[in-house]
Amino acid sequence: MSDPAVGLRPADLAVPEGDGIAIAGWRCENGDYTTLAEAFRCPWCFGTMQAARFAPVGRVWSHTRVLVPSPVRRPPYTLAYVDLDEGPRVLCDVPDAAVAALRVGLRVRLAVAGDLLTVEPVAEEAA
Amino acid sequence: MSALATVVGIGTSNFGKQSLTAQELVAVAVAEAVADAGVDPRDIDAVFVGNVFNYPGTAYRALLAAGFADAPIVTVESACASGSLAVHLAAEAVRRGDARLALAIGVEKMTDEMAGPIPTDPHDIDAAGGMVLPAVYAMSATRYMDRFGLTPEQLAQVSVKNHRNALANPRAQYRGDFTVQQVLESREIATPLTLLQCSPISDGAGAAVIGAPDAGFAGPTIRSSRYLSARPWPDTTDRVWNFELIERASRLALGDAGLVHDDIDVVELHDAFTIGELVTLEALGFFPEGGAGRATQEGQTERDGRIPVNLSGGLLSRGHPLGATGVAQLAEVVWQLRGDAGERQLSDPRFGLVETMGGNVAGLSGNGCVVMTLERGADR
Repeated sequence: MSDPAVGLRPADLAVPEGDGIAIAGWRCENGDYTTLAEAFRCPWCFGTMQAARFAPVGRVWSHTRVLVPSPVRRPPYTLAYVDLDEGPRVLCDVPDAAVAALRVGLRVRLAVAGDLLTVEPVAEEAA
Repeated sequence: MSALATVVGIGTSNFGKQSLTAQELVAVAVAEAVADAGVDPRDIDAVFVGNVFNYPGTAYRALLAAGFADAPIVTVESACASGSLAVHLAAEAVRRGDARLALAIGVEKMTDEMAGPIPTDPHDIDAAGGMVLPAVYAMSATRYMDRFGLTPEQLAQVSVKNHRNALANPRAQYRGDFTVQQVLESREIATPLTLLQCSPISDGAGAAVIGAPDAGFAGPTIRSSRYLSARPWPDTTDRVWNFELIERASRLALGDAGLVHDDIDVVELHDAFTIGELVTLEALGFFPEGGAGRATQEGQTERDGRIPVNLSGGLLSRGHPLGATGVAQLAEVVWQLRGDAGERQLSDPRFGLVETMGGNVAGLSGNGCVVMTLERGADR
């Protein structure tokens, strides 16, 4: 039921790209549908899904500070959904240092921190 | 218009942490439903059971103990919507003529299985990042606050209302006359949601005897019922999780029934968390997007308001034994339409609506959703 041992690590979504990282996922051959979860066919058009890499920049869609335990994390910790500019929505950890600046719409860059993907705020022009 | 089916009898266990096993919970609910229906249980042609977390075979073991052995048993799972999916399938079975009488059951024995927040699916990457169910809903709440100016007080008012409603429900898990301030000052779970804004871990069961239309059964009728699965989320809209699925199911169910919102006298909907009630009210179409918080604060969803919502106490207060929840929601609407709701009874309701939302597979706007409309029907 709550088996955390299925081998998933958010950090594994990050792949080397130039001097930094990209986020690995999938994009439909026919359109804009993107996803991080392994997919073979597009649920909108049944087109073939192709492996894709997405730039690790986007905006915070929403966020919450979690004060109850999950099967894999001890509270408290802060989560944000980030809409990447190039498509998918990614769940990220928000480090304590970034919590004060956290707001819906905040421009962020993704980074790897241990097993997690994390965010660091960036200036509008930098992204 | 003709009905899909008649709710001939209804029964539930109490809700909350209980010493009863899943079998005992089912036996209690089935015995009440069969007695309420006044039918011979040997005349029941098919059984549909909603259950989420319990061991495979739970339905067969429970039905055997409850006195059913040879009717075909179908177990269904659609997370929190499992019980209402069982009712939906029972109604479809009698409508098609596959059965004259069908039994729909929902059951969940949760307190043996878990403590603390319900985890998300461990096969989703979000679970590996620490996502739990309260956080999923909290994300919607934060987004709503930013986009529509929803206030913490408006969120808390949902909890105040539903806990107060449950004061008149002897089967409810929790009840209380809380203030908005008390709700906001209860323990933080996932900001902005506090403990009193989260449904509890519960044990419980519900059962409904569903009869074929035009077969002479008395009782409230199921006028329409729709079960849909979700589309990918996020999508091209800025809707929060669940919205599009509930909206689609609602439009179809109300359209099938030939009803408009002003026809509906009583609603039981999926308030697993306070934000869920507000989003659902808007997705169902009772209030414009972003308008349910203010409407709740104004008392429009109170017992004496424009549209009474969750008079049972809802999931927040009656309790939320996942597989049983949909049948418990049906029970409240049936009792209201029959005039059997005791101190909770509305004055002469004619139409009711049940909505149950289930599931949290990442990348979908929920797993499945049932929206059902009911009419008072022939007196028993």
